Amino acid sequence: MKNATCLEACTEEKLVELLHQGDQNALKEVIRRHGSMVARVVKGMLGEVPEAEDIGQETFIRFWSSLKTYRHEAKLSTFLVRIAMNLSLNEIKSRKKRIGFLAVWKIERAEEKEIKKSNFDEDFANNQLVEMILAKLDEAHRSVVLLRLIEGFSTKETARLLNIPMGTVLSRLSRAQVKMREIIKAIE
Amino acid sequence: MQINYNELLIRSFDEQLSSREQKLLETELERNLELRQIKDDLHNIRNSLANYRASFDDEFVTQVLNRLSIGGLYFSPYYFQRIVKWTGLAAAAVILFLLMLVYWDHQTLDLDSLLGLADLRPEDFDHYFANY
Repeated sequence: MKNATCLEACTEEKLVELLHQGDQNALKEVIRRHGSMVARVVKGMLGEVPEAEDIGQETFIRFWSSLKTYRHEAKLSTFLVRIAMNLSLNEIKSRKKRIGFLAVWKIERAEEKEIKKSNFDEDFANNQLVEMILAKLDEAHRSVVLLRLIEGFSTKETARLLNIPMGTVLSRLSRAQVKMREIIKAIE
Repeated sequence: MQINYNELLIRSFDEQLSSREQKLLETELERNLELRQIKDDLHNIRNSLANYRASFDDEFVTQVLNRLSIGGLYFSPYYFQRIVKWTGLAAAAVILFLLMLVYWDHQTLDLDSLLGLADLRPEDFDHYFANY
């Protein structure tokens, strides 16, 4: 318990030091601090599907195994988001190869369900609305919206994380906002 | 030159507009109700996105640590389900195809046709067993 309390108060530098020593409690603390963020990235990209949990787990496994290369030049959150985003984009690619039209059908079915139960409470309704909007964007626009508007990374950081020029981030963001407004108008 | 105020408005959320562009946008917002509506819509969308929440299962941490303890090698139940599902579908497709072939040949799906006995006559058995 004492160790857990220490970990909660740990600075990121100290946490990384413990991770380098192979301390799994430090990994637990990283998951506690950044799990929600990784969940938003993965579930925002893939939707509420069973693979999302696996990709989330895989993100922390990859993080753990690539700690040797982590030199604290980027924040832990940035490092984790990069892994989560890359794994999610890979999963989307393989999903497209695997079951093309079936995957699209599944997403459309999920959207119908979401709209029907979107009146339970405000937070739930908001989450359902955001998931529906994200599902209707293609992954290039979805990834920019997720990093820039949901996670709050700057345009420059978003560009770095996605390995695209800043101009592309801005133009995708602009097109995504037009598209999102159309989606909202269509369901009103 | 025609100014696209919608584009200018969208850009204003993510970029620092020049003072001339900012002034133009403010003037247009004051007189254009539709543009003000678009601005409000975009604000609402951004608020919804900023309030998006997601989390993993309660067992998430345990599952990550379990996977680490077995060296990261792991096949999730989901992948097993998927393999079983696709194997089942493939088997069902093969069985359906065979049933169609039988029906095509015999115009019926009775047991004799399914077992391949429909075209056999009693003397065929005699002939068969005579060799032994």
